[in-house]
Amino acid sequence: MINRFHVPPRTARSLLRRFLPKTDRAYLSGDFDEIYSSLYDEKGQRRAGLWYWCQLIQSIPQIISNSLYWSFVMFKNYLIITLRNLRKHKAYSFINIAGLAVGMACFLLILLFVQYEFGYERHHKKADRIYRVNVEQHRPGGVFRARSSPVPLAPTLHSELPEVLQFTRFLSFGNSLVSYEDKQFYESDVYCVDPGVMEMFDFPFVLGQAEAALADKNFVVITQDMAVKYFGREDPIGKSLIIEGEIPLNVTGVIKNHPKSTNMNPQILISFKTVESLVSPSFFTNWISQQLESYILLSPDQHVRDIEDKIEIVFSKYQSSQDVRVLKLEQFKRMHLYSMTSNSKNIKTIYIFLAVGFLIILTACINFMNLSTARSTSRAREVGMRKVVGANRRQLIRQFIGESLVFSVISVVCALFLVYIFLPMLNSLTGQFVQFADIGRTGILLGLFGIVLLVGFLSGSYPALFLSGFKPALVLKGVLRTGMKGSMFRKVLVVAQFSITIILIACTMILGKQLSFMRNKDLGFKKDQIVVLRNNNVELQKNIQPLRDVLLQNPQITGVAQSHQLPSSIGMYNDVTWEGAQDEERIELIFNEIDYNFLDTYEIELLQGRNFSKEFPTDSRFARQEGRSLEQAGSVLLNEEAVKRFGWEEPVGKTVIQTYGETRLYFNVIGVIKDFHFSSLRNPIVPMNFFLREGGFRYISVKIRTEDTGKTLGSIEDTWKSLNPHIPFNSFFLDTVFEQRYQSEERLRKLFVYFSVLAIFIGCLGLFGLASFAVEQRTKEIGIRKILGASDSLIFILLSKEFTRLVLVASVFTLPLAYLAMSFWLKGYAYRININSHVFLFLCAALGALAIAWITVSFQAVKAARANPVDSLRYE
Amino acid sequence: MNFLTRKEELILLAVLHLGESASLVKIREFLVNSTGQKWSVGNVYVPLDRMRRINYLEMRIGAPTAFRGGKAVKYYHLSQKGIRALVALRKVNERMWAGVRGLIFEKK
Repeated sequence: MINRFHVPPRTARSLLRRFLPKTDRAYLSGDFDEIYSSLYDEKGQRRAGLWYWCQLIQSIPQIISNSLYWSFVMFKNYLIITLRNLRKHKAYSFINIAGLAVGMACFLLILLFVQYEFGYERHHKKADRIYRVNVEQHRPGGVFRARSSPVPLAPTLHSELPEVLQFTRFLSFGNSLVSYEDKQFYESDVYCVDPGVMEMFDFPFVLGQAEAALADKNFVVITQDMAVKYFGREDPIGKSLIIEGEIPLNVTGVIKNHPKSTNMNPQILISFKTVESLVSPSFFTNWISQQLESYILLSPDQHVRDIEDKIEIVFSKYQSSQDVRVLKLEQFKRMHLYSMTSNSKNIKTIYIFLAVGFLIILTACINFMNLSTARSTSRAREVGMRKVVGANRRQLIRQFIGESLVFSVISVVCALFLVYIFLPMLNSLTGQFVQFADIGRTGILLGLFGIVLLVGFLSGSYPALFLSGFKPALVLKGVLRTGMKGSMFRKVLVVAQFSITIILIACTMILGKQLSFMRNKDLGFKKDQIVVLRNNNVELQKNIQPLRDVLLQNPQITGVAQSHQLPSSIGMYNDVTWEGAQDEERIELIFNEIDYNFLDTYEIELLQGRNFSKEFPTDSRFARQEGRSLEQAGSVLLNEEAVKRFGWEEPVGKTVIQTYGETRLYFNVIGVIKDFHFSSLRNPIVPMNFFLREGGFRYISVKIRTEDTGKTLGSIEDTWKSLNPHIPFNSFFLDTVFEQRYQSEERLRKLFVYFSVLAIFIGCLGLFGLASFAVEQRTKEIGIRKILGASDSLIFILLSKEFTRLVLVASVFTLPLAYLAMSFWLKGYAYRININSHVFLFLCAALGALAIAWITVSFQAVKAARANPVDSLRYE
Repeated sequence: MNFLTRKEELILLAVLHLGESASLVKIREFLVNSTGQKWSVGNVYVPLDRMRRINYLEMRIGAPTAFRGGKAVKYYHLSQKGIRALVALRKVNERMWAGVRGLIFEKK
């Protein structure tokens, strides 16, 4: 007989060992080794090695399926026990599953929301190579970023840098009047673009050819929506759209409607050559004013920094010496989430959402842990029996984790149902278009799977460790008392749960306060009761006096004013230097052009000097003529902030010089107006200057009285129509613009309200379960106390005392945390509530949580206190 | 009642034949020699394990030996239950074969 041992191939051996069942591993691998050794002696190493590998391949599948089969037999037993328990303790199972399902539904909704947000612009295949050229200015007041850039920039970059493969400019037409035959509408998404746009962005053509669609002047491409709106069933190709009542455009193509998940949704794309006939040639060579957005397409694998450096070199050739502007590239793909030019970054909202989602899931898991450990006594016997029959601790742990996985799977099914119901609500809240079918996406499915596992393991882990640790002899003798060991840990969990609830309540309250603060703050002008009429008609812009006279005859109308921009949306800057500035220092001022009635209509307070007046003909000298001297100065109104920046003591009569390339225009300051907030209160007040203009305004603001606004609005429209029957009437209330401004805050607040309600709901479920359990445990004690003379109220206090203490501990922990978080959030607002004067809100949150806890517990406590002691003490 | 499968029957018989030395390796060797067919380790192990779990076989753990790489060996022997199952199967077999003629002549 052979008696020598030979070591089998190393890799094969370790592979084999990995797959053998643990209990038989040593014996089986010994068997393999023995046969190998004898074969080695008989037939040599190569044959034996070959045999070993063959055996491996043949035997492992059988061995694995064998051990799977036997473990499944045990699993079936676990499953039966789980389902029996589930059915036996219906209330407990309901509480667990309801809590988990609501938590998971929340999380799933958030996940859907997040994946939708990340899906922005993904349908543009080159989105990662498309960049917008932003203009950045570093000034003493901070960094100012603008999306708009000079007109000649993009073509220059394209011709001078080989890395820039393609370019397009987006010149907005603002709100313009578009007409076809007798159909007239105002459209807001009208842009002039270069032909390169079709190569850069994926705008699929339904009709027409992408290549030639924007090749010549007066060509226009429209979306399907627009085609239906203007042409109905007619073939739009070759038809003529009239824009602003004078520019005829030839429809050369129709593109598909843009998907919802995009910020790039031009409805009407006009060829850039069209602009040539509308403006003076200097428009195309002006490197100073920033009129449009420039997008460039880079060749693959370029470093943004390198390109920015190269762009800077090109740009510096065209910059004047005082120009401090720097160009920055912003990737198209990242614009939605990481916008460089706006203060509200969507990614922040996403992080907040994810954090809240995790908190809610955590609350639900804590519920599960609490209830399972609290109920441990009822399962102690089962654990004891299993241990006696030979189950080891690992098997028990596996059983309990398996059990919580079953709960988790049931909950996720319920959660999917909840998501299906509540998705439309979330959509209307966030203004998105998430579909239920999106759940089928791999990312979401992975998340779903992950959450089932996470919840299963997280919520099963503690009960599993706790329950599997019972000593069988003690348990079966009945010595173990009511899981006291776990009560400390349980308390910690309840505290954690209440902390989450309190944080959410406190944040919701502060959020609401800040929002109402921003809504109600005196902006420095009156935004209410102002109806704005859009006026895009050149003829009417020249003279609105007849309209104005008729309107003012209406006793409900108290003022009519005109302006180039509305106080809600001022966004144009001019470069200014001033009398007494050192080294001709320049700063950028927001400017607006207004008429004589503007200040009165908007009730903007004049602090010094006078308003524009017809008695001073110099006031209206704003014509941009070249080479005007100091003697021909016009007039300007400044706000307080501008005066402060200039460092003037006596502003009236001083001179402001507007620089315009090499051109200098002089203006005398005639008055100072009080600072007013024109943009969101997130932003600080900026310096402004106002000029007078005689006509050519796009907006007419009509101030009306509060009574019967509907009728007044009707009469305004009638007046308009009777005087200008051919010009469409288009109006809106100014305060709606301001409402929209705080939409994201409002959204956040609403979501926080919903989430706190859910967190409270889940927490209450758990507390209810715990309370009922505590009452059950102390039935006898309560009976004896009552016999000895305790009153109902004393029993009630006895039962709710413990929970009260827990909530108080939770408040002590979390209120400072909530305070810090909210003061951090408030720092993002230039004008904010003083958090220190709202400390009582935090106390309210704590008291609220306490009240909720009491109400929940009292259901059980009252029942226990009212019960007849005979029932609990009687032995049958 | 559930009869033994053919594989299980063969393995139980091999265990009986081998007596004291019925380890997996020996059982497999015996089966290969007497059936003339290939038996992989897994082929033997799976039924062996199953019959151990349902208590047809009992086992005893032998001393580790050097030529097994220092691993111990499992020796199997039939339990009363296993013997009963084998006997029952044999009776059925005999009953089924009794009176069957012609097969043997054909083979000639």
